[in-house]
Amino acid sequence: MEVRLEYSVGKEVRYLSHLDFLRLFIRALRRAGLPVAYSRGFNPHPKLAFGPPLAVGITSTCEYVDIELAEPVPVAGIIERLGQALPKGVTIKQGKEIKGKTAPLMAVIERARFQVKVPLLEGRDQMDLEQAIENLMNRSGIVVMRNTKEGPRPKDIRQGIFRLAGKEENSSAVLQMELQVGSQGSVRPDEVVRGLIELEGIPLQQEEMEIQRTGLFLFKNNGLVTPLEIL
Amino acid sequence: MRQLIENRLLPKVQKPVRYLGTEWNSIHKDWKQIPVRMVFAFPDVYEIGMSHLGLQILYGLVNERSDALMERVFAPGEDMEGLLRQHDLPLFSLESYRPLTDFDLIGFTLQYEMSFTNILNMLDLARIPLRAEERGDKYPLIVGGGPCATNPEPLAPFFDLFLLGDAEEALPELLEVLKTWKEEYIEFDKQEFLRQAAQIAGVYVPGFYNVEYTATGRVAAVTPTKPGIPARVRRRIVADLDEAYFPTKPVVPFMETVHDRAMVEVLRGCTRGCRFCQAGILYRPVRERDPETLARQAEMILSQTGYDEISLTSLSTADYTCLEPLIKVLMDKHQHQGASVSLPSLRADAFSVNLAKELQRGRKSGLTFAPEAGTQRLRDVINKGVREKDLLEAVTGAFEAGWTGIKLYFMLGLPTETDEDLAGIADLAHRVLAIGRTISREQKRTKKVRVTVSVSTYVPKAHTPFQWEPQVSLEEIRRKQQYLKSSLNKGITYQYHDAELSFLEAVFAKGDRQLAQVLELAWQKGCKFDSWREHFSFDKWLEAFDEAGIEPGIYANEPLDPAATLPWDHLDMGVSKRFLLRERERAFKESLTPDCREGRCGGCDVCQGFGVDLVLKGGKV
Repeated sequence: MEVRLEYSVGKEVRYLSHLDFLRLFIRALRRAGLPVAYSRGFNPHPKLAFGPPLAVGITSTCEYVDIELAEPVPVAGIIERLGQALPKGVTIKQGKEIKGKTAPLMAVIERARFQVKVPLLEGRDQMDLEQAIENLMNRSGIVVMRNTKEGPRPKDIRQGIFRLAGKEENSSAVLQMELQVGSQGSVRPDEVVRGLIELEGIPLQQEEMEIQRTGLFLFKNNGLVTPLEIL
Repeated sequence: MRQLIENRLLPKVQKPVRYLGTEWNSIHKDWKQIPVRMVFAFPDVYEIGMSHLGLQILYGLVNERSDALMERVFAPGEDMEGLLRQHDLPLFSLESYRPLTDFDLIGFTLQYEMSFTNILNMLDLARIPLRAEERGDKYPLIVGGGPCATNPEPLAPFFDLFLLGDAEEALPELLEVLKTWKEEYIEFDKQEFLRQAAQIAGVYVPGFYNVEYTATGRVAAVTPTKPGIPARVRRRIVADLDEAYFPTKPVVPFMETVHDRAMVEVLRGCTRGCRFCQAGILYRPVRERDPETLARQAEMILSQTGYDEISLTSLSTADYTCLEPLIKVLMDKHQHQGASVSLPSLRADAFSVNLAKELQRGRKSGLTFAPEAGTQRLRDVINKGVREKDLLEAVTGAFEAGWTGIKLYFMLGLPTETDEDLAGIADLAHRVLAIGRTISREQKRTKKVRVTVSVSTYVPKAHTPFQWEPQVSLEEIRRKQQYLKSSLNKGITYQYHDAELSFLEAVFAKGDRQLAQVLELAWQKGCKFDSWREHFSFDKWLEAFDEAGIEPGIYANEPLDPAATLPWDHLDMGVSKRFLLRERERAFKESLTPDCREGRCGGCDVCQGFGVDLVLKGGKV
């Protein structure tokens, strides 16, 4: 049987890489005594497939993993047993059995929502954050530098920003973003913040940024649905 | 402090998972409830330290007690060190993120000589004065253990005490003494505590010994300065491994470590008697664990960690008398759950290759054998019982079974070595390559056969039959390395170690207290992570020797007089000097000494001295 689980990533484990999470889930499944299915062939590996990788340092309320088990286990039992075998910071929120064929999470997820909390620097000019966001979104291009294998390259991220809103709270900017993610390219939330700083002059303290992924979505009938809703 | 490090420092380091301290099975105790607090310090980075079985054993052993806790600290990466210094923060323990100065005891494991500068650097980062005499009663006790504690003299001024031998024995006794102090006395008196600790067998307090030197600066005598302090300290041993503690809930790292798998220890000690090998002396006698104990431990570890591989570790696992039945039990029990069994090293014989065949899962990439020397003559000198026939059988078996890569491990600069022995290495490698190519052709394989010759430079070590021998000179090491290189055909991959690093290792392996000053100077000049090529600076080391007025070659390159006092003579491994001298003579006569497991006692005196015996679960071999 195959099951899709939704889990959260707390502060305790936000510095784990995608590979660390893979290792962690494989080991937790084994500790839980859940019969994970292995691929055939020369180097058998457990059949686990994650959604788009979460960048190191970011927490999340909504990560997804598809797990294939060699024998059927009730979904509630999986959630409970796996939950006990996971370290603090990783919580299984819900799950659904996958019946029939589904496309891999990595291939179908196209949108990600983030909440970013970033302190406003002191001694700045009173600037209207909401106005700055509107100005940024009204630009036809938002070019920021992106680190690539070939070194820093300019990159226009405007087409990958679908929503940007924000307000000031306790001398921090709290931003809500909806960004492109997945096989067609991704925009990173810190790139949007850099756009605000560099193009609109908002004095944000990038180094103190707290980022949380708050939603992952795919398209169904031109509407956004979660990976669990589609099942 | 945790908040600051988590929010400000960790985002800026390359590998933040090294510093989380919240791994599965990590233990976080309530400090207020626990009288004795210890931190295990590994003087290298996390992924190396977490691969060390000794850490897991002691972490479990101490934390099992209700009156003591053990946390962990590793040498921080260069980026983390920079940030700590920039933010004016002290080195902290991983579990509670407390400064190391909050602990009663810091226990460093001394695994290799070239980690010594990291110890000084960690003390400095922890804001602890380097020298024991500068620390007074307020700072944590600095304790060392592990193989280099058997000649810790270059570190003596920096440490309060060393534990010799299996720490499972002496450490709990030391913690008991400390607990009494913490519960019954108002003020800590370090000198009095150390006097009490020195009564524990296996505890060596270097500050209680005076070293006299000859006119030429060699050690003349090491004598206790106080009444009641033993003239010689004997290492401790665990007599019965089945009774000994073994961790069945080891800490499971988040990140990939060097040995990222479950471990059971099938036996301790090795009596094959290779004359260059220090571990072969330090861990005598051979004590095997019962296969039933091991099967039970393996099952618990796999279910508590989620690992899918269990390694049967020891100095020489192929020698375990119950190896085949144990493997069968483990495979029957765990193979269907996708878990595999692995061996850390192979003997160069057909038996080992057959085992490897059975255990191998997935691609057959490479196998490593260690003939150590290139000719039978030299292998007889070092008492390495490998015959050429065994090795060729082993590699033939490996190639036939589908392996395409063979790595052969040798030492260069062994006593009595000539160019003929080096030519023997090349000759052996060429024959292995020819065998591989023939088999590959016959089986019509497409994958190229690879033969690698990996050569390290021999470092004479304390407590071995070759402890009186010099290392060959630096120029001679370089010449030998190049000679071998020119003798090898193009088809062979050749790897060799840094000559300078082996030279320094030889200096410190047989060093005395005068070298402490060199260590301190080298550290001040920025030496750390010396075993990492990108960090190693031989020039800085030479400057340090120069400033200290010490000629390193005296330690590395001059023979020692068998009648003279050695800097480590007051540290007793239980193996008699008489035996070591006899083995040395036999070496020069190219005469073999059989393994005592085969029935004939070789007279090393360990069993008699400790009142123990070999423990072979499958009977004598």
